Amino acid sequence: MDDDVTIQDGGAGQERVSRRGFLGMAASVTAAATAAVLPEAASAAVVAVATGEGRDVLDVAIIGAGLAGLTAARDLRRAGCESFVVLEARDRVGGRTLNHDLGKGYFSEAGGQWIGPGQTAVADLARELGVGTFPTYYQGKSTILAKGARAAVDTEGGFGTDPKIAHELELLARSVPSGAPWKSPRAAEFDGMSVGDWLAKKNIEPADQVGWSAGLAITGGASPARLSLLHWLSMVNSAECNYDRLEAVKGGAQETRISGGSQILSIKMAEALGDKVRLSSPVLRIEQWQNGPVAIHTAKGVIRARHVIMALSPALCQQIAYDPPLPELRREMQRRWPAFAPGRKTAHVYKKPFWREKGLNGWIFQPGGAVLWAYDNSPEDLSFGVINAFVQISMLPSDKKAAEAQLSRTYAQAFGEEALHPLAYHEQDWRKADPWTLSCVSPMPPGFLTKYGEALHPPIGRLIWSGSETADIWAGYMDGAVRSGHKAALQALRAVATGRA
Amino acid sequence: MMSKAPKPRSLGKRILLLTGGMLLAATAAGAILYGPELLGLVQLGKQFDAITAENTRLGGPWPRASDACVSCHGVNGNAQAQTYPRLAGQPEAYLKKQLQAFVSGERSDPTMTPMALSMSERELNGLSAHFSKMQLLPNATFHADPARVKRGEALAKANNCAACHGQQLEGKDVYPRLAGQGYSYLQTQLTRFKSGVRRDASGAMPAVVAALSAQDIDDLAQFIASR
Repeated sequence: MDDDVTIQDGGAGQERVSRRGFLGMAASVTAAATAAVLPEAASAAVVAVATGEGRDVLDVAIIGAGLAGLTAARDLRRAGCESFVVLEARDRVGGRTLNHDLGKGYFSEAGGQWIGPGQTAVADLARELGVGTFPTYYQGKSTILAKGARAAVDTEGGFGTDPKIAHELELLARSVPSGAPWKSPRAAEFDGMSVGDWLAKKNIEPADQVGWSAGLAITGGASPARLSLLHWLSMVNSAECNYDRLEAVKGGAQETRISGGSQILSIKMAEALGDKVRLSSPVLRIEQWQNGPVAIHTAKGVIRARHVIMALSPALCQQIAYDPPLPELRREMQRRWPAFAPGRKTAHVYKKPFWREKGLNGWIFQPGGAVLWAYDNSPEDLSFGVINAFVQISMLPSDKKAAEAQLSRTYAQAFGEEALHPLAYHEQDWRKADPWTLSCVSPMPPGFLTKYGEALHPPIGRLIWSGSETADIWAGYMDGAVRSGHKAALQALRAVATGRA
Repeated sequence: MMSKAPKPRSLGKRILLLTGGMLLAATAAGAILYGPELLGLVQLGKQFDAITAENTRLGGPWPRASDACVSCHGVNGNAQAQTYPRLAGQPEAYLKKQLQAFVSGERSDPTMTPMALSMSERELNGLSAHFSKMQLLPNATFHADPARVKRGEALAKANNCAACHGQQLEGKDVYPRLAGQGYSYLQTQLTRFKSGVRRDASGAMPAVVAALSAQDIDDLAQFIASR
C-alpha cells in the first residue's frame, strides 16, 4: 500500500463530523444535564425515597453512559421501552472513550479507539450510526529506541512477537472459552501460573523479553509476572485463537479507526436518547436491590426503578454502597477486581505526518523509556499529523509542558528535528483525571478467575451486570462493551416482561 | 495472503539475522563498514543486552515481580510524575506496613488495594525489600516556589516532623522518608490525613495535620518535595 490513506466505504451514512456538529451535540447533552438539575424540569422519577411505589418507578435504570450503557438504552428504546433513564457520573458520555478536540472538526483519541477483525458488534454499531471507519497507518519502518541507540525496522504491522511461541499460545487458547475462562478443563493449571511463569520456561532472549513486556503491557495492561495465563489465553480465544488478531495492527484488534474519533459513537447515541441521559449524576448508594423497587441514590436525588443495568466495570461497582450488602462472592470479586492498569495517553499534533515521507510509520518502541508505544494517529485526510503514545505514567513529569517537551525530544530522536515543534499537545492520565474510570483494561492476576469468575455474570436480585468486562467475546474492548449492552438490554426486557405477566 | 509474506520472525531473531551476529561491530568503523541502519541495529542489540543485565542485577531474572510497579512508581521506584509516590529508598518496614495496610483495609486505594490483595505475603515482602534497596534519585522534575518552601520549612520545624521522620526527613523504620517525595502526592496524603480518609492508628499524623490549613499543607509539601 502506498502513502495514500484510503477511506473505507462507510456507506451512505458516512459523514465527517464538523466542529460545529460536535459542539451542537455537546450543547444538547449539556442542556439535558441542566434540565436534570432544575427542579421544575426534573422528571417524575426524581423523588424522595420516602414516596410510595407508583408511577414514579421506572422500569429500568442504567448506570453508566459509556458504550455498554448507551447501547443498552438504545436497545430498550428500539424494543418500545421508554420507561428508563441513563445515569452518568461525569459531565460527558463515552466512558473510556474520549476525544481530544484538535480543532477544525478533527479529533485524536485519549482512550479506547480501535476496531479489529471479528469485532462485529462495534463495527455494526458504527454503521448503524452512520459513522465511517478507516485503516490505522502502519506502513513503513517502526523506530526502536534504547538509551542512545536507534534503529528502524519493518515490523510488518505487528509488535515483532515470536510467532513460534505465539502459536503455542494459540493452541492452548482453544480450550479456554473467552466469556468464561474458568470453565476451561485446564483452568486450574493455567490460572495457577502467570504468563511470565510460562514464558520463563521458553528461554526468551533479551530483545524478545522487552518485546513481550511491552506487548503484554499494551494489550494486557500488566507485566508478564502479574498476568494470569488463563486470562491471557481467554483474550487470545476472543481473537479466534489468532495471536496477530489480538495484538497486531495489520489484521489485528488495532486495524481500524473511527472517523470523528471513537467517542463519537457514544455522543451520537446520547444525542438520540436526549434527556434520558443524566450527566453529573454519580450513583452513591443502591438500596432494596433484592426485590425492588430499587432506590438509586445519586448526587442529584433518588431514582427508583424495578431493574437496574450496572453498565460499569466491577471495580466501579465497588465504589457504590449497597444496602443490604451484596452476596459475599460478588462483594469479594468487586473488592479484588484488578483495577491496576491505569493509562496515560498523549497526542502530539504536527502540521503534517512528516515521518511518512521518510519511510517511517510513526511507531516508536522505547524499552526502558517513557514510551511504551507511539503510533501515527493522523486524521484520515492528513489535515494534521498526529503521534499518539501510550506512556509509562511516571516516567514523564506530571507537568504537561515538561511532559510534552520530553516526548518531543524522544520523537526528534526517532523521526528528526521537525518533531521538536508540535502545534499542540494533549494528554490524559486516566487515574488522575477523575475517579470514574480507575483502570483501562483489567489485568487478571493468577488465581482470580477460577476463584471469583463465577460471580461476574449472574444477575443478583434486580441488578443486571453489564460493561465490557462481562462480554462473552472481546471483554475489555469497545466491541465487548457493545456486546454487553445488547445482552443486558435483553436481560432487562425479559425481567420487565416477567414482572408484568 | 500469509503465504506470500516473508517468514515471520521475532524482533530478537530479526536483529540477530540482520546483523549477522556481529555484535562487536558497534563502533564508528562499523558505521562505515555496515552502513548507519545496520550499525543502529547492532547498537540496539547491545543496549537491549545492557538494559536486561542492569534490570537483572537490580530485580532478578526476567520476568520480574517489580515490573508491575514501574508504570506508576517509575523505574526502580523513582517516579518522575509528582502525582505518584516515589518508593526508592523508603524504609523496608514502612513499605511492608503500607502494603499490609492495603491488604487489611486500614489503608484504601482503588488501585493499590486490589494490587496488594493479588499478591502473597512473600511477594509483598519481596517488593518491600526490593524498593528499600533502590537508590533514590533527586526529585528533579519538581520546581519549587522559594517563598512557599520557606514557609513550609518553618511549618516542618514548628510541627517537629523530624521527630519521627529524621533530621533530614530521611525516614526510619515504619516512618516514611519524606525528602524528595512527589509534591502532589504529599499534598494529597496530608489532605487525606486531615479529612480522615487516610488513617493512622498512632494518631500522630491526624494530630499534626488537624491544625494545618490547605495553604499550610501546600507549603509543607513544597518544602518536603524540594529536599
